[in-house]
Amino acid sequence: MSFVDVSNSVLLYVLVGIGLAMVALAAVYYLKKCYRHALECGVSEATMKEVVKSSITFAIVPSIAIVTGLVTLVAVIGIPYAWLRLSVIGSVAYELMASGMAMNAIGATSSTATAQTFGLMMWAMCLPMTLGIVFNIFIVKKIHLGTLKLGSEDKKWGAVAQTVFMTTLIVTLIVPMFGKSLAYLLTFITSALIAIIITLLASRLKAQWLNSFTLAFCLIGAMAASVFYDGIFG
Amino acid sequence: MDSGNMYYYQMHRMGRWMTAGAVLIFVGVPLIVSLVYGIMPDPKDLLLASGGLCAIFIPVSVAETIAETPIMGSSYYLTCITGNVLNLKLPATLNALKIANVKQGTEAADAVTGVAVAVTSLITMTMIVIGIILLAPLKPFLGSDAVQTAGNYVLPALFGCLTLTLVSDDVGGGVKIHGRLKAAIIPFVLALILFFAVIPKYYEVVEGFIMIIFIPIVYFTSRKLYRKGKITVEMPEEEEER
Repeated sequence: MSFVDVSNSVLLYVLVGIGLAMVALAAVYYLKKCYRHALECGVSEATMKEVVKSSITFAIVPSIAIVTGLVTLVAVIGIPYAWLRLSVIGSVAYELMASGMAMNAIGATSSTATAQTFGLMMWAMCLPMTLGIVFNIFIVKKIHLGTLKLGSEDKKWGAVAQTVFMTTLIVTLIVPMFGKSLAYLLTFITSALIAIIITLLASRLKAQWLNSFTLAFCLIGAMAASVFYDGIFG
Repeated sequence: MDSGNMYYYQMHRMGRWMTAGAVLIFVGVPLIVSLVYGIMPDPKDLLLASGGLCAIFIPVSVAETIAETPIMGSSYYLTCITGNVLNLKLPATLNALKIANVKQGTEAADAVTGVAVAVTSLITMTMIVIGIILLAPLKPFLGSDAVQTAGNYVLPALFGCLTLTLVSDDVGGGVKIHGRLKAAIIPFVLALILFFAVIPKYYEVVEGFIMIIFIPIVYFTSRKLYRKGKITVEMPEEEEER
């Protein structure tokens, strides 16, 4: 059997389809449980509908970016396995790196790759990331419940303590925005400016619904601007 | 067991089962295909191909778990299973918490986060199915220079907007914290030094470890500034009275 015979085989389509259907079912069940609990906690039905609506509109644009990666990955490993990897844990950059390392390990190239090469590629993509999430089973609960106790003796300090993680995360992640390229920085600034404009508009026009779309508008506007910046400074 | 503990207990139990199920799917697919077609790789080749990636990605993954779990809460299991944490799940969570106006570290925030993570996961899965069905007709558009270029700028486009969340005093649930950014000055300067002078090429690879180092710095600086009155907190009236 050739590389393509296995990488685009019916068996692989069926297995991936079943696997993803199970993940999707788990996500739907999880969604229902969380939605119901948010209502029990006193969040209004209208607010929760806003949360769902906003999450849907926001998720579309980054998902298109993921689909563009799919086009690249399909050319390397065929449709079904690219479908599985990008629908769940994987990312285009990681999958391309892993598949490249697998080919290098046995001295194969895309023109000489065999079914055996595809087998190695699948495992090279699967193992590192999958082993990483196995640790979640043992440590996530301890970390989460441990951090919830921070500042529990003083409510005001507790509120500050709970923001520590978010502050740290954003501080760590925004630094590369300043140094990667001018186009990167301008895209970052454009996104922040769009957010300020929408917040001001929503407040002036008393159109609170606009706030639900802030992230989606920022993403579309800044990404569109990035094409322009990249053309000039990239 | 009070209702709060019961909720967290149930969600973590569900998360652990989901993770175990996902691991079975992720490993099961290559295992069945390899066995059926007789293409199981030689362990030596597999070690050569994935040893380096395991050495990097497993510790990074554990570091990210330590840094990101306090924000994503019990939804971290589903977040990891469905991937795209920084470019999708985390921004969606911050956005959802802002809309719901709930305080971080509460059950309501945990449930709202779960809704955002599940919805974005389902949307991505749906979009990929649409992408596969329309792969041939969409290829010229998705492969165009403009779309490919824009795809490289997802992170700055997201974090420009999200940084305002950090700057705002309003942290949800009617709670306002003034001066909390002062605690971010030291890690911000350290991060700039690391990125520009020390490990420019590897900064993004080891972000998880950097966060682990910064968390205690921000925590203890915040505590000191709070005790000195440099960070002040306004609680909603009903909570002030309690």
